[in-house]
Amino acid sequence: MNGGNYEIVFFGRGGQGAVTAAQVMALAAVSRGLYALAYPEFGPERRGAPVRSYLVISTEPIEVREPIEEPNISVVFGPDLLRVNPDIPERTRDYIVINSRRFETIEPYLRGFRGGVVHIDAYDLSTKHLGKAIVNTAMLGALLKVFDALTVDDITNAVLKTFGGRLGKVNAELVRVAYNEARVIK
Amino acid sequence: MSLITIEPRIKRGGIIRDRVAITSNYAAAYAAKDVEVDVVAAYPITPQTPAVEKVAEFIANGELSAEYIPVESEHSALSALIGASAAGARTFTATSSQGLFYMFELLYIASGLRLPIVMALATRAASAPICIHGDYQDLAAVRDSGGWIVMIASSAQEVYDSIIMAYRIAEDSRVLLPVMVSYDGFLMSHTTEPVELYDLDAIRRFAPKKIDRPILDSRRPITMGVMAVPDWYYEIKYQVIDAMHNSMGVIKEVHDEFNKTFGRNYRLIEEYRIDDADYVVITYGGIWGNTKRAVDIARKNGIKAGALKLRLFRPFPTDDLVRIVEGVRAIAVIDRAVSQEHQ
Repeated sequence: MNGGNYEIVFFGRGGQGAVTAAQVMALAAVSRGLYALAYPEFGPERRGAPVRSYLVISTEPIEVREPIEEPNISVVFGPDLLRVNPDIPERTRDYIVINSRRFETIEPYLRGFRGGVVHIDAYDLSTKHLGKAIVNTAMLGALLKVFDALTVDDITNAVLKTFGGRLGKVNAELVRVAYNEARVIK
Repeated sequence: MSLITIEPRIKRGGIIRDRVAITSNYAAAYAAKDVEVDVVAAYPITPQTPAVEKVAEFIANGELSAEYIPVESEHSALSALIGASAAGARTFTATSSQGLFYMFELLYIASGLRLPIVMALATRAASAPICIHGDYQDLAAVRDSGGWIVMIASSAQEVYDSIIMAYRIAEDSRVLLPVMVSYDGFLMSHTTEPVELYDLDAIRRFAPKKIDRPILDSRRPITMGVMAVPDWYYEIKYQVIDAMHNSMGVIKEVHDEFNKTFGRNYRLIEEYRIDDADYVVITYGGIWGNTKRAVDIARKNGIKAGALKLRLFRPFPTDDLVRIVEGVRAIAVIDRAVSQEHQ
């Protein structure tokens, strides 16, 4: 299923904010008059366990509820998740947005991938801005490099609304910085 | 590569006060806030918990003026609401699975006392083995729970809308029965999707707080929950059956008025490509969109398929259902609860 829908999967680990990332994007999309569906793949999740959350954005109402098998974009919160989910390059249609300290370490995993890659060192940016390596908002900044249906302002507004107060401000700033720092590799 | 061509289509102004991205749990909480409930009593249980957490937040930050009773169990949650409702309060709670089972004996008391309590049910599997995921085993277990009206929603919007309707139905003097509004645990309870919230004055006009029933009032004392010998027990339970029958007409009336006021198109049974269908799938809840997709695929393959969604589960819209499926060759039912004896 991929009619008029645009599909994104967030691959993270419990505690990194993959679920919130999809919800923030959904909020931003709905605020712009679009339709969105954001749903985590749930279990009794533990901190550190691999998790994924799904996001569908469309100009039409979204009626079908199902896991996304072949997303337009995979947002991968750490290089280890490429090892946990080795089929990401095979299943992703357009872009992989990935966090790692150095691009060279993940390059071998992406060799067969025909789409584009966005690289960001989100650990470093998150630690600088938040004091801890919770990378979800940095990953949203990187995602915007190749997802142009929403603007940086759309996302920062949704981040401010979701987190509120000081936490909202630093995360919104992080989205902006990450957007500027992220590199589109190909 | 260009991604999506955006054509913003925000419907603001008029009857819609805001368009938000929320889960079905939050949609339930927003509805409880918007109808200005007086008393909420709840005990946390997955996957319902965020619903009552959100209501607690509304009360704590002053958006809703209500009494929140953080009880020590679901048994106490419904007990507290029975007391509050008997005193004339508009009440709300939410639960799931084991929590609903723990409320069981109170379900009969709420309906027997004719109390218009409204409860959200984020449906969940029944232990053992412990499973928090969404099926409808909990709702199936209370299928005949003594006179609760039950609606099943398929989207967060429908959860919000159904709870607003639920108060109108429950508090109607021809009905006076508790109402349960259910939705899929996780598949809906934790899915973020668009919901249009309505103008608060329009909601107040649609579901005004008026007490059209006997209540506990020290100035005009009455007794509730008395002992009844079989003659009277029969009379009172018969009145519940009567009210359940009468509720069908009221539910239709309320749906019509809701559709007219808020621009929706809810029916007790929703139909999809049914007119010339040979084969019909009957289902309910969050898989309705998937079912419609399956019908489209079957049609493409030359099978004359159609689908029906049960929005109202109790009272069961038997007559409507029989009329709609008359003449079809076969019916498939997707029931997401199992009757261990009859499989």
